[in-house]
Amino acid sequence: MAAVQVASLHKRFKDIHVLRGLDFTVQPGEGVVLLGANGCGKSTMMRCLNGLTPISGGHTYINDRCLQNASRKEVRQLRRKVGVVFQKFNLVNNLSVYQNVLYGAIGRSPWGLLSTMSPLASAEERDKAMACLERVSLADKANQRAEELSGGQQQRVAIARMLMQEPEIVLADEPIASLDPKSGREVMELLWDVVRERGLTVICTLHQLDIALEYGDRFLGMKAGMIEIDAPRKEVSKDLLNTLYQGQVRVDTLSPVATPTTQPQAANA
Amino acid sequence: MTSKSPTAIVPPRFASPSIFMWVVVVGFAAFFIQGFMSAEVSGERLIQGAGNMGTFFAQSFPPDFTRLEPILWAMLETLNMAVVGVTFGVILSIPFALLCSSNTAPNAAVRWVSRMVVATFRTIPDLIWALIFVVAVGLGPLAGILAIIMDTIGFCARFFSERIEEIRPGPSEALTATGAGRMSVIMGAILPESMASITATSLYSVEKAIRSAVVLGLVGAGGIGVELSTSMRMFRYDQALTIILVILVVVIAVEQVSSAIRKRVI
Repeated sequence: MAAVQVASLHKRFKDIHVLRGLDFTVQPGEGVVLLGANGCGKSTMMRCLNGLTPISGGHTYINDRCLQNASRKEVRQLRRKVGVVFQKFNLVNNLSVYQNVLYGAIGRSPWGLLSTMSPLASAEERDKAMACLERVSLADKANQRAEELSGGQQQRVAIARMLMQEPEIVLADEPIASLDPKSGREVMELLWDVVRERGLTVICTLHQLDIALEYGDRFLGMKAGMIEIDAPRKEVSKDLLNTLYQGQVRVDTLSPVATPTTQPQAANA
Repeated sequence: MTSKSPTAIVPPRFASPSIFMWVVVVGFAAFFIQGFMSAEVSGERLIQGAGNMGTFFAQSFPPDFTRLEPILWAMLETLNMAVVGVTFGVILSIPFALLCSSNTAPNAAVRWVSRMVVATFRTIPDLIWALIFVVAVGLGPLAGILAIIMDTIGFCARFFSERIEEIRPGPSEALTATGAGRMSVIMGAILPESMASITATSLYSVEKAIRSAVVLGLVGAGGIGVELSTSMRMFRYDQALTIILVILVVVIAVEQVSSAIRKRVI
């Protein structure tokens, strides 16, 4: 059984062809690092994997289940298996850190949001949330508002929320791109540790080649919406990965390419 | 130290207005002059009016406080109308706002219909709502409360919905990504993210409702307006002045309290 599978995936935003036929399979427990220049389609691809962005052609599979043939309810059930760590943390700013972590359990709770509201949550879930916060060493910040924390701390809260979800697969979209180098390294180390100790499958996009080389078991390199490199760790070198960042102008269009993090809004419009 | 390129054209000091601007300006001027003429503004009338104002103030001093107790009760009724009306209005505004917002409405048709409904509530002035409800439920504060509810929905639902549309999409996406349903995302991320603004708008609408509750009494919808209109009709300007002073004190007090709360919330 494959954890994640992508078959001739295409994505167009109006006249921009962002993903141009991607094919790859990720086995359970694999740690994949995805690299590529800005605008090559990494973030869009990540959003297609759990259905946050609808695709224009091809198929994506989670645990061998095709997202495109699934009903809305089934898509929600599949999303429960996929934890996401975002570049911008995406915590609900004016709620407590603790409440944000509890939200991780919404998908798998019988009453959805109601059973994850701090006053109504079961003792078991409340203990779990505290355990997740302890794992990211932020148990002492549980009652603070999320926006009061530093960027690195907020990303650790987001990791705790992801753990609370009890996923099988983790998608991390540039998890350290908004952080300074030191907290970036700390967060990356924490993320990889928690993923590894639970034996989860992970796909992580990164910009820093040196950090990337320290983590992934397998490297996928994207260029202009296509997979250019798919190689295990022992076969990649910094020089090979560097080729991804040369000649960054798209072949089919010379217009500037919107950064992937802003594209999904265009897709929802 | 920018060097001028030979092809650069210096913008003229005055650009000639477009045809559209000409039409707007001429249309406005014609409408203004016609309006000013039809009001029959004359020096004579203005002087006479100033004299009448003088008579009013001369007769209203000193204010008559003998009826202070019933006046205060009527003021309390006005406050009650405002607070009860706004509370229901704000509660009803939230679902309306969610149906009006592009990021929370189930589909475009529902959004369009709810926007039309809210726009209608807003376009009809509160005084006209009060007249309608006086016919429907009779004289008294209930008509006033209903009028304020309609007015509050027209105002709050629109501003809530604008706020809901401009919140960051990130937190909602994060909850969606955990497998949360639409309602969970709305209640868990979208409403908490817009709560500060919703509270501030609601407090402002309390201030607004108190001002309008005062006026609603003039058409029989309960509260202090009834007292004011009676005193004016009976030429008891000294009592009328007492009522105006009470209104002034209460409105200022409410505004102070409301802005103090707003500062803490935001």
